[in-house]
Amino acid sequence: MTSLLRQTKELGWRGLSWMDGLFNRLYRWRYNPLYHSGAIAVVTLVVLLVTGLYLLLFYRIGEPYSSVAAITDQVWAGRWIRTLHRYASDLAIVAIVVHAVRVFLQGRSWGARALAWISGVALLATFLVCGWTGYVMVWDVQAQYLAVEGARLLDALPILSEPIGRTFVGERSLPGAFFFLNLFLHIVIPVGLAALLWMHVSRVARPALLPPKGLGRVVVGVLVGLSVLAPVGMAAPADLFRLPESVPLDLFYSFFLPLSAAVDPAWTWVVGGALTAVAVLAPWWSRPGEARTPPPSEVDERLCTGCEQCALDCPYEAIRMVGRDDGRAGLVATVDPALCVSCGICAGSCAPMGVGPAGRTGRDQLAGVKAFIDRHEPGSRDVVLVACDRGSGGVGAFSTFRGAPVFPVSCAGSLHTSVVEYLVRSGAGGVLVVSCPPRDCWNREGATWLEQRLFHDREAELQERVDRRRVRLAYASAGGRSVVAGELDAFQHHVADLERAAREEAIDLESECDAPEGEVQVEVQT
Amino acid sequence: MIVRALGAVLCVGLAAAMVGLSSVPWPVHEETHGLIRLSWRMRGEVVEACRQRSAEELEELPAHMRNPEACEGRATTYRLRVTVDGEERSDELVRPAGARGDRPIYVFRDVPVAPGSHTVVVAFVPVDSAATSAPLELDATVEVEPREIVLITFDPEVQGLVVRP
Repeated sequence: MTSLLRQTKELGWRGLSWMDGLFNRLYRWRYNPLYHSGAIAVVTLVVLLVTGLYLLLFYRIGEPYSSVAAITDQVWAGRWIRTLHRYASDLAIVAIVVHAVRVFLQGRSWGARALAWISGVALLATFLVCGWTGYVMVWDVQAQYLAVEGARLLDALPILSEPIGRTFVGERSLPGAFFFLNLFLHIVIPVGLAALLWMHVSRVARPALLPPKGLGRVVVGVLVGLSVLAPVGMAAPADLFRLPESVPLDLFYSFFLPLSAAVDPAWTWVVGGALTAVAVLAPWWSRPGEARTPPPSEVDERLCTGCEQCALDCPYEAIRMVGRDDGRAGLVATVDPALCVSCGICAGSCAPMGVGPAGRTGRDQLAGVKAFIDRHEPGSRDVVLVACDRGSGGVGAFSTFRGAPVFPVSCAGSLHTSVVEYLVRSGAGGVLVVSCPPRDCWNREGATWLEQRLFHDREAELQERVDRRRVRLAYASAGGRSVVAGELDAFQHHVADLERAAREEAIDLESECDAPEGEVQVEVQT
Repeated sequence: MIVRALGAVLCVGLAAAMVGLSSVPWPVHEETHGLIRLSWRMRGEVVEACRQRSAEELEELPAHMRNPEACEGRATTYRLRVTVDGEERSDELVRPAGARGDRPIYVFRDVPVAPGSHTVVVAFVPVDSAATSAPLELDATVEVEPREIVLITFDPEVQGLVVRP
């Protein structure tokens, strides 16, 4: 990847981080729509299916325009449902593009994720084609513009002997077969969408297909509200003997029309083909060089106890349990390097520290934290920040933040709880672990598993002997440095209160009781 | 409270933007645009050249294929010339469709014109000297309204080019 591309990506990432921070402040991370862009696209698909079924009851292929006009003006709630169908389709495109941009800027478009990326590009293309057929169904001036331009583009290809554009000459009325074929495509394509969606999530464990209920309700509620407040009407009907004066373009689907209509169709194919090739081949040209590609996880079979936790926790189903061949009973974990993205979450899941990417296993983390403590020597009033490299307001790049020493980890989900215990037992007043918000985790489930390991006994759990009052977990996106500062401040006050309470507890009350009359002696033990 | 209000404002703004972009009135054709469209389908003439096979040639053929006459046919290419108000707007060869040139001939051409009255001369002439079919010709004055498409097509009933509407 050239340095220009890297810089552009970095710039894009900064812009996205800023937006994440803004949306987190406005909507809180749990309901940030940018974190749920893929799931919002699925919600819109459900809305489209439901509203589409209703509209299908009243659409007539022999009278396309008048049947849609009847739906709009006469059928019960027809105008709103038609509008809801349209706005849901627009939101689908927005959500898919946002999702694709996020995934690309987060470097999740190559390697084991290449299938998800390519199927995602295919999903976008399929949505566009489905939308085009939907607009042609209405057979208004926009449909005419789309159909005529589409025919012009297809006629530029040496595929059919008869120009498709002759269908729209007007010499004879359009055959019913045309509208039937169009309707058939519009109905069958969603089946293809379902298949592509299955492929899109086939390599992840526990895909989160739907957003949180509250956000889902808001999305549907906003769409319904828009449909009621801004219902679509009917544009002028198509007239094949008239050049349309003005066309109400839906730019989400017809964005290319003003450009392609102005140039030779060959240029449209060349540019469109080039852009499509760039998108489809992104897993190859966006892949970092060998030196920057992290190695996959490895299993130390001597240490593996076959507990299966790593296989359970892996967000990419890259770990399988297989029979041992070393004479020991039970199973042993094995990592498929083709599926492993080197997130390191398995390292955090393994109590005996027998799995993880080279340099980031539990043992490597312990060695790292020992050196960290030697360097910083945190005291009982000090809070140590454990910060994820990707998010955490970017503080993972610092050695200290507001006086607090920073221990960076590649992904908060890879953090082994022994590191937290070691920090507390070495005398740190508190450990503040800052992770990406759960739905923004670059490795999908790192933040979720970390929370469960720290506070809910998920293997490899933080031991009971560790004072939970001295451990806190906070969530902050890459653009959420002020959130980290606020959490750190609050935790530092909390730790100071703990220290004060500990000192007061250590006051020797007996010495006060034993003091001679008239004299009070107070011995304070620190 | 302020944060929630700002969040709501942003949501409304983005929703309004989506609604706006969903239906943008895009000017496509001005009043000064009109179109003459040529569109027809016809079976071109097939010109055959026949000759007698020699005895040696017949000897080489299987018994059931010894037709004394050998004919080779080819579909005729046509030349399309269009002039509007004396100005040549198209002069091109139109070949039969298909990879082997054995499909019908399709003509589909658009000639942009300004609205108004225009003298249109169309000639669709076979270029093969052996062709015997009559050329298709049209010499007509057409009235083109603003943004109107005037169609010139082949009418099989009259076996000639006609103007529609």
